[in-house]
Amino acid sequence: MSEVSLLAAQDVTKHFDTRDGFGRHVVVRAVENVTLRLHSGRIAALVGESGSGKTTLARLLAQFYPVTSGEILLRGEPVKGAGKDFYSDVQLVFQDPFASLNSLRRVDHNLRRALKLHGHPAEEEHIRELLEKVNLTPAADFARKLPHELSGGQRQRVAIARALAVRPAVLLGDEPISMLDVSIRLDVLNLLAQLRDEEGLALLYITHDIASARYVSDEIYVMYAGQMVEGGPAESVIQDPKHPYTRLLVDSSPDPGRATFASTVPAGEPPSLVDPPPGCRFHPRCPVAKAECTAEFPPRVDFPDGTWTNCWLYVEDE
Amino acid sequence: MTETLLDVRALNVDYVSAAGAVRACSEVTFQLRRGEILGVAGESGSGKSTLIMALVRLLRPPAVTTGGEVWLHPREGEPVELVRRSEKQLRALRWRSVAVVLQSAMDALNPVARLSAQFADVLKTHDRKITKQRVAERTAELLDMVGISPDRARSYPHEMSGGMRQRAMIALALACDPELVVMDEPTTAVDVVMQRQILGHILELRKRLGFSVVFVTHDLSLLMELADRIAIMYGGRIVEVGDSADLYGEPKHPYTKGLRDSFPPLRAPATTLHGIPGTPPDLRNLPPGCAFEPRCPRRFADCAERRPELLTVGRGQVACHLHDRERANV
Repeated sequence: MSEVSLLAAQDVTKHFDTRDGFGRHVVVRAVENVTLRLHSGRIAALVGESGSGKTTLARLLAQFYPVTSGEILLRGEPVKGAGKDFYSDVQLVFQDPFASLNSLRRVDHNLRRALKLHGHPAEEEHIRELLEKVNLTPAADFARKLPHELSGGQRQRVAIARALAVRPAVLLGDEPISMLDVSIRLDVLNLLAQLRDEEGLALLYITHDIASARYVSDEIYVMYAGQMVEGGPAESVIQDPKHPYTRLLVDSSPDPGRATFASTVPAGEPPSLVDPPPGCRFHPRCPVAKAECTAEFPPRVDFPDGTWTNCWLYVEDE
Repeated sequence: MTETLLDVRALNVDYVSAAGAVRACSEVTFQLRRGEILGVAGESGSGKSTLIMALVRLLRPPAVTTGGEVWLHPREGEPVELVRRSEKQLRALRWRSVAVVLQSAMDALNPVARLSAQFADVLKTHDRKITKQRVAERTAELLDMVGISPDRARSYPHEMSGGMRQRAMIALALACDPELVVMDEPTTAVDVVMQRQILGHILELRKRLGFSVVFVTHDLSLLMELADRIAIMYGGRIVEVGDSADLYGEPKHPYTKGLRDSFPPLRAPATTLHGIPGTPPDLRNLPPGCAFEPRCPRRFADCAERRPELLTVGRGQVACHLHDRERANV
């Protein structure tokens, strides 16, 4: 892509040093040579199963911990350390809105603090403006409430308003709707779309629910066991998945429109990241695995519909 | 006419506290047919999990069943009423007639016992004379049914993945060939691929063994694919029951429609969806009329005053004043 991305992970790897049950030193290979780019006015969804490295990648993007190798780029420049400057550009929204707000303080205090810390005026009108931006109206009523007086969806909106208080260019959402009641999830997704369209934010939407990824995002990235296996325009990735894992994921997802229950999913589970399979980490479960798959991670192959995948299946077709 | 296995009549469950009782399930009435999968869908606080625990008599204080009847019609013998049975009498039914699979297999399995010991426990409870060899054979057979290699019987729960534990729970539930398996969000804690594997096992085993399932979840889109019939709960009451296809194709209750439209489609053309405005009701403070009235896009004067009854409309049942006229014409 020619345009400069707002926030990007360039060939990023993250290994965690830890100890196993017997106290022996082990390395968890959580993220392996992954590239992801976020652009203003676009939502990129990052999908995959638990343990696929989605959250680790988001935390690398947010500078929660340093990369093992590779680079995090903000407006094309390598990020040096995580200071206030960085966080006035990049903000996070977490999964659990019950844990992410100060429960002893009213909504206006939660918001005012973020405004003040980043040197923005923090009068009543500014707080009202923020609450209106996330559709919490009448704003004056919500400003006076304590977090426990709000529903999960309303709390998540306050968390988003607080992130917006610093006027960021990038918003990273880690499963922002998975703890909310079903009937109010769409409202929060619609809010993310509104922020993209009206504020021009660059958004990362991490989820395991690919139907919601299709609903809200412009691009979809698919991770499996720490490797990025496919990406591209949302509709192309869902309707015409290239990588066998993406296909498995799409076929497994609930779809009430499906005529009959598809139960032909092969057995198998993601591998351990302490001792992952060599090459493509999906090969032990892959129905079309070849000799190459066990030897080396495949190069990227681009398709006319804008998608790309890392899969040996397509390499010889070049 | 298909045989009825479970007949639930006007079941009430209260959470008792110093500040007064909160009714989590109100006059819940439904029938489960033999061999059927009935889905129960609702949001948190709708009373769906409370209902399940009441059915199998696993409620703990402060939750108390305060009214109604649950009739189980076993293959052999007389119908049994569950609500009034003593714990001792219930024990004869547990595992053998009625089994339970809960959301968190890690909490349901014994963390310090190998799987083999836990299977042996269940198998021995109901056949004291069973031989060691028969226990081993049966355990291997049960694990194999859910796609777990029999040598895994020697594993402890913490040595298995979440998906494997959940499948082991299902195998354990089927150990004594029950007629009814009650499942409370059994796949919520696992990933979609594992979820599909587990549901595939449930469907295949149901076909082979013929048990009935009550399957509770908040994921209506999943139920649409899995269940034969679906009951929708809101504010502690069943607001609609119907065949899955009918419920998806032409939901009768505005809440059912709203819930259906809260799940973005995977393949159908993408349009902007809105979910349901407002928030789920507070059971401590339910409106006098229909509990959904404050959020309902089609409400009218009656809705705030009179609570609609669950009555038969067409092939299903619905509790909504919109259908009063239709019913009057029948």
